Amino acid sequence: MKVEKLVKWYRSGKEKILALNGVSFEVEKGDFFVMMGPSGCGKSTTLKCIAGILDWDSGDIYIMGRSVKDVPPHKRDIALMPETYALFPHMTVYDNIAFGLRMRGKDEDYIREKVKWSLKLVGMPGFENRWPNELSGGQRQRVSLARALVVDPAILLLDEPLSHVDYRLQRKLLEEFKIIHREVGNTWVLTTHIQEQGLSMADTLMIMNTGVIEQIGKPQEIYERPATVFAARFVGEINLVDGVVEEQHGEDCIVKTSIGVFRGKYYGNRELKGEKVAYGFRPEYVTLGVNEEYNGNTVKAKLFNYYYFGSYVEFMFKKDGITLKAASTPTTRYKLGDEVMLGWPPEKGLVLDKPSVIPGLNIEEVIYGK
Amino acid sequence: MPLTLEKLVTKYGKYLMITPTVIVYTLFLIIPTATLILLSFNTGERYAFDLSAVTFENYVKVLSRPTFYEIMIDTFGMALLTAFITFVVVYPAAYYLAFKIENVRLQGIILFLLLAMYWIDWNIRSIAWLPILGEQGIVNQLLMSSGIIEQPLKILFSRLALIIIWVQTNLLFMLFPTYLSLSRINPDLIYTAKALGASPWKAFWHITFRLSLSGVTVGLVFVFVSTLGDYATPSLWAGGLQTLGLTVHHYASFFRWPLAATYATIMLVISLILLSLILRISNIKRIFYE
Amino acid sequence: MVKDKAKVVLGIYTALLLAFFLTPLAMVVVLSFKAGASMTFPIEGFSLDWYFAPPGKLGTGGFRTGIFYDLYVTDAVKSSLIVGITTGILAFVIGLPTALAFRYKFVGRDLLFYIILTGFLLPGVIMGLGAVLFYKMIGIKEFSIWTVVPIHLVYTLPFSFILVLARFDPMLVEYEKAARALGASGWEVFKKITFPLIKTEALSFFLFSFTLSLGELLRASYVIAGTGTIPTFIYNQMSVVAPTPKWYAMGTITMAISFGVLLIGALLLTRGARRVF
Repeated sequence: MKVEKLVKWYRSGKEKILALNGVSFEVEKGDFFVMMGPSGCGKSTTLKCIAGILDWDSGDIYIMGRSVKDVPPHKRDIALMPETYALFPHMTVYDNIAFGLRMRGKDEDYIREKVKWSLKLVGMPGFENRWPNELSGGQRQRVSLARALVVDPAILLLDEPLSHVDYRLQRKLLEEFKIIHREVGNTWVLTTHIQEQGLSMADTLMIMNTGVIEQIGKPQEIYERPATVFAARFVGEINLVDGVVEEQHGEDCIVKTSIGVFRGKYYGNRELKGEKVAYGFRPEYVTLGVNEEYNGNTVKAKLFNYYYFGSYVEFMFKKDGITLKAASTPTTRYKLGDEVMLGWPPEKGLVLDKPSVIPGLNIEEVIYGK
Repeated sequence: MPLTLEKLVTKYGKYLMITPTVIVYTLFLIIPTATLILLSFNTGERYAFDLSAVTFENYVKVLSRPTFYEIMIDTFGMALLTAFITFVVVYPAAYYLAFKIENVRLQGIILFLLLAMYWIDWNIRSIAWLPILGEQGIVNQLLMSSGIIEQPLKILFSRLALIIIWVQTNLLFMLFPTYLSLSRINPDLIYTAKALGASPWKAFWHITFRLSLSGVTVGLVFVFVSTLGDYATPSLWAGGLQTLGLTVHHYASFFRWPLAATYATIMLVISLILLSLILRISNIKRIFYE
Repeated sequence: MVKDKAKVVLGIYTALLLAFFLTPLAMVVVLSFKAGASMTFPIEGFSLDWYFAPPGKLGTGGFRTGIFYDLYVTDAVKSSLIVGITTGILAFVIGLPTALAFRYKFVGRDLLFYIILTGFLLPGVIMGLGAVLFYKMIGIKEFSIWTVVPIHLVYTLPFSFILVLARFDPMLVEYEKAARALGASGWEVFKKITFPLIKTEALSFFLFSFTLSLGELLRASYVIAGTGTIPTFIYNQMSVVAPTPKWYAMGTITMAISFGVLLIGALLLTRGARRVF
């Protein structure tokens, strides 16, 4: 599937909001493609445009090489699992799931087999004759998934499939999704705003921000080499401080910040000497209590808080008014108020020249959250 | 825990709130209806039920008249026909209002304006048809001047006129409940159906229409009932068509109360059966308070 | 892009339907201003006679007096208004608490619902006849506008009732519970939470009952005496005398009354509404 320069405005009375600002990307066949971003970033809008239930203002979408601009949803080879599950209340589970197949004119024997297969796949065999209002939330969701799956579409669209499910169930369903996807082999396109889901599920991950794409790539790529401050922040925790590039040699840079001079990596292609950038490093790469022989970046900061998460502790430090987080296995070495020397390797330092793909933003404002 | 006044009020307060209504309905609906039914088992011109004079005489008399059955079929048939025609006529408009007008306030205002126009007196509304359907009315004038007919058509005093007038009268009885149930349909359901392969027509038929049936049923019932009991309109405009309602009224105006009551009871029983069937099927209370 | 052809077609259809519905009414208004006694077009001249002609101007016979001078008509209007307003107020007083009670479960809820509904669904003749017999049975031999009120109450309340029930915010009970958990007493909850949120519904009760009562003929005709309400008066006239545009004038007046009342209602009720019902 190819999305090309998609532009969409939401109009209400005299007001209009730009939901999609020239979004372009491609999805490979058989991919598990996740669109991720905060509420309002345009991911659901994009999904709905692909489904055909929303029109757009300019640009185009191609499915299997053909433009679907004038193709109504029921003629596109897609199936949708909506955010609200939208099970038809006046139909049994069987009829709900059979719906897509009946619309496509399949015969009843075929339908019966397929419904049985799909219910087994989502772990709900025997539920054919239940009514939607008798089901729990998780069950409704699985029926909604089965209903879309059973149609065998080229592209399966899922809108926030795991966002309204409790944590335990989320993990379980996540695994089931991947298993089913591997078994069935079609292309899945999902949206979510929950960072861990995007990272763990996606073959290809796309980060969106108010109508534009911040970055597309493999989850690991985005996590380790984010293109913008926004992307870096969205996929995981990161310590950020603003600074100026003093030297640059290829990927390696030296950045002067208000809390120290640090070395880091820059994966872009601009000349940054003298430029204002954001310098970042992730909490899990920080070692606590390094000594003078440590061959990396260091900063001395004061411990003012910590959070115990069981498998790790998140320590919060302050240096010159800037908060720094470090994640480490639990230790009782430090008490609140201690001054601790923090260290992290230079190759884990990130130099980010762009606050966001959206032009005109001030990097300091983005870092410090105005 | 102590039994405080608060707790009593909370637990039994709701019974208190419904008491006046219960009283009013018992006094002015249940008892009068019971009185009516009881009286049908008497004869003559009495208006008070006499237990000692209970007899089935009236029923025998009525049920053995062949004209009775004609009247019955006429009455119920016309009522059902009107209900159905009103449904067909109103549904597209209800759909338009529910789905195609975005501004909610505008929807509301249109509906209220319709409502306001509606409660013009029944009969005046019907005499408004005189200048349209009457012999010197517009329709006839148009038809004659364009040469389609020679003599003015006698449209007005006929079944056709009755149906037209009734449809116009009951338009809103059908529109409101239909609109209500249509507007409460979750739009997610419709676009999901389309995204699962349903063409717009199929999505309408399988999803929208099916889900609107509860409101449609209410509308059908309203129209059916209101036309069933209407003796005024047929007496003025139907040119001799005899309905059950008219019969009841006829006997009542001659003070033959028991006989009127007999006809009324028969009408009541049949209506109640039909209504409870329809209401049972559509599970009406679900849309209103559950 | 799929153009919304349906919207246009349906829109035209709806407009035509509205025209069908409104044309007779428009006729009534227009023709009420015609001079001359014929009931149909063409209109020879315009005049306010049917409204304002004093007795004698248009010939003898009461039915040729302008309605504002016709004592019978003004009497009927007054009666209708009294019945309507009383019915409206009573409907509000007993109906609103009932609607509020329906949010909770209680013994006999379904039964009461069906009984209330029957008040509206019972054909007019049956109710009228039953009412006459009932009154006679308890000894009321003279009818007046007050004998009409309870019957109209029974008839109009259900309509308001179900429309209001459908409009209740399903969260209402939750708000009340929250208020109680914050320490409000029952009365305070009602005054500060419940009532403000249902103000519009309360108004609906009155409005719907009032207008339904104004137009009700069948039931009223059995239990009224004297000039009657507007509908009964008109029906009696229509069965007896030859029609004149005076009836159009009467119709216009009734329409104006209910229109005015409901327009106010519409503006008040739809203020800030997210959905209509």
